[in-house]
Amino acid sequence: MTSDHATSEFVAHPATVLDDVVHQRTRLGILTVLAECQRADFPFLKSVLELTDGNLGRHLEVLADQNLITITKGYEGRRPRTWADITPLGRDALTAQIAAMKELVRRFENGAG
Amino acid sequence: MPPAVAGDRHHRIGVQQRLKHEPLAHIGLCSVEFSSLRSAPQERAHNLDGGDMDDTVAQDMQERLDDVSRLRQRARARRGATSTPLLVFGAITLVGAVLPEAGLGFSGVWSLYWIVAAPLGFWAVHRYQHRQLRRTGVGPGRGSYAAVSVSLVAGFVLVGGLLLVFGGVLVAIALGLLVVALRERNRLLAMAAVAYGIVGGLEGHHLISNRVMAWSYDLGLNTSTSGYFPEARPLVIAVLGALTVTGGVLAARRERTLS
Repeated sequence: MTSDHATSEFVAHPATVLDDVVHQRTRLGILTVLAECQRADFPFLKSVLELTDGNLGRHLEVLADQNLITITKGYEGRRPRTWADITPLGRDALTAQIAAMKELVRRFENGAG
Repeated sequence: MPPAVAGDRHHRIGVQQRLKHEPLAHIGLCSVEFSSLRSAPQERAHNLDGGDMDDTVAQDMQERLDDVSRLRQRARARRGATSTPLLVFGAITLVGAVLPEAGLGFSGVWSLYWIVAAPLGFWAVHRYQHRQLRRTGVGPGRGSYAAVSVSLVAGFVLVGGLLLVFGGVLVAIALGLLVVALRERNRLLAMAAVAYGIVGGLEGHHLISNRVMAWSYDLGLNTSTSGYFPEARPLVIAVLGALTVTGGVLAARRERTLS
C-alpha cells in the first residue's frame, strides 16, 4: 500500500508533467501566442515575442518536430509567408504545462505558508 | 539517490519532491539530469530527494506564468478580440434604435433589420479577422464568429417568430457573443455579452422602457395624454448601443496600450 501510494503520488505530481520542450521560455511563449491566435505568421511572432529570425526559426522547428505546431510556407502574391498553427496536441501540452506550473507554485506557497 | 538517467538530451530542472507517505507538502530542489522528460516521468519523480523548494525555482515558475499571461493579453490585444465585436454590435444596436425614429416603425421592416443585422454583424467580425490575418499575420483565435452567424440564420429559419420578438434577437446576439467569449476565454467580452443579454432580455418584455415611461411622468418630462411614451424603447436601445460602443472604444484604448 505504501508503494502504491508513493507510485500514485509520483504519477500525479505536477513536476512529472513538466515537459522540457514546452517548458523552455521562448517555446512556451510561442505556444501561448499561437493558442490565443490559432495561427500567426513569422513576422508577427517575431514582433510579439521580440525575437531574432534565427532564434524564432530554431524554436519553431523544435515545436514542429514534436507535432506541437505545424509550419506552412507559401506565397501571398509575390510575398513569401510562413505560418505557424498550433495543433490540438500543442494546445493540450500547453494546458498541461500551465496547470503543472500553477500547481507547483501553489504547493510551494502552501508549504512556505 | 539513484543515478540520473543519461540520454541524448540532458535537461536541468530544479524540482524536488519529498518522499513521504503523507500527502506532498514540500518540494525541494536539486539539479538532476534527465533524458527526454516525456519518456521518464516516474524516473524523474523517483530521482527527487527531500528538502525545501528553492525560492528561485518557485520564482522562475511564477515568472513564466506571468509571461504567459502577458503574452496572452498582448496577442489578444493585437487581434482586437474585445473591441471589434463591441464596436460592431454597438453600432448595429444604435442603428436599430434610430430606425423607428426614421419613420420605419416597429413593423416588418424593423424586425427585418434585426434578422439581417444580427448574423451580418457576426459575419462582419469574422471577415474583419480574416482580413487582419492577411494584413498583419495575427490569426482569428478560437472564437468562431462565422459559425455563430450561420447558427443565427438557422435559428431565425427554424424558430422564426419567436426570435422576431425584439428582445429575443438581442438575447441571441448576447448568446452568440458569450459563446465566442467562452471559447476564447475572454472575460471582458463575456461580461459585456452578459450585460447586453440582460438588458436585451429585460427590454424584450418592456421592463426597462416601462420604467423609463414611469420616471418620465414622475419627473414631468412626459406630458402625453395618451399615457404612452413611444420614445422609451428606442431610448433604451440607444443607450444600450451607446454603452456597447463606449465599451468597444475603451477596449480599443486598452488594447493599444497592451500591444
